[in-house]
Amino acid sequence: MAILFLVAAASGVLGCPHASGLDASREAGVAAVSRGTTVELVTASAAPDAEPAAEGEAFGVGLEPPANLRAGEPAIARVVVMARSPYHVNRDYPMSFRPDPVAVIVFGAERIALNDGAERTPCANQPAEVCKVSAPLRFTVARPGKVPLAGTVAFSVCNPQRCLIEKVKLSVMVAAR
Amino acid sequence: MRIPNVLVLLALASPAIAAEVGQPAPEFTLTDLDGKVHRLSDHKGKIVVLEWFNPSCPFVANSHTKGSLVGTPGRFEKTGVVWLAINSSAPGKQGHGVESSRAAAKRWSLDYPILLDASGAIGKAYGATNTPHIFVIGKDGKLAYKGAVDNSPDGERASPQGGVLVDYVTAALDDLAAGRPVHTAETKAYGCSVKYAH
Repeated sequence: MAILFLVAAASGVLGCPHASGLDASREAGVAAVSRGTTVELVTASAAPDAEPAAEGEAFGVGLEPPANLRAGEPAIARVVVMARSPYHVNRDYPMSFRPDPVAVIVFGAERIALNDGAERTPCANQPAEVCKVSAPLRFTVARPGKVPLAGTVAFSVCNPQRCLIEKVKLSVMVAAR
Repeated sequence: MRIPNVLVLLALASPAIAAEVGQPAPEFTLTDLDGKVHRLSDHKGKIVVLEWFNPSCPFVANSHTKGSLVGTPGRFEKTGVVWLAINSSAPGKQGHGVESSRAAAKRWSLDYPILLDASGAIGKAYGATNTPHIFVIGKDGKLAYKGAVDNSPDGERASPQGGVLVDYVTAALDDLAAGRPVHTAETKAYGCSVKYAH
């Protein structure tokens, strides 16, 4: 799925106006529930209701799972946000990932801050701004099997005329050995 | 006496000097959405809060619907604090105009005046860079606080820096009410940029 997102980004498919980006007006219906630092199992077999990547007029966002995943061992997925020209990623906004209660997956917090340790790529046409952020998302799958890695990514993109705050629900199946 | 043209040009070319904490707050005369004139000097001897405002900025929306501005103006107005919003969006820019401000005020139940500063002159005199951007003026007429609403740059209190939410505006107003120096008198504002003409 990560490959899908990257291929889409590279080929410009993310610019398609008919794609599935969620806009800010849809954020009200998005909520995550977790207890402590462990996202509780609701139903490990539940089909995810979100895709691993989404896009809007101003952005593309995707969730890239790790290549090799072993149950019980720490793993790192990546959350990738790309701003589409003339937008740039708002560096002041506290990007975050709120895990969904969909799997036996342990995260470091109920809300994972994504700004620390993120790789930032300057915009080609405005080098002072950032157009791509790739942030590590650390987690552990408790037991072998396929589970959806799912949650809501919050980020902001701006152009000189306006800023947008986006909350996009993403989900990707991961298989732990 | 005629003022030499060169002086006029120099004055126009000089960058605006932002208001400084501890210095007298710049005087202004602005009209609200109903055309009523408001002067800072009308409120001499009172604590005044200036809230830079853009009805179309999502950070302003968050602050008024989920964030630290929910209920805050009303709570302090009851104690005699004067709360004024200022919209410095220029014509043609996001958030400009009476109707969008009026609609936002209704949507967010704001009952304090929203002043129009379409030229941006007052925004620049204060050094307002963001919406929201807060300036608190003490009873002595001096700027006592300028900066962010709080330390959660999402505007919804969900991401406080350092893990603990600090409502800078409430803290500043509490300090002033208690006769104390404002503990945190200046912070970095977050949110949308003010949509000045230039």
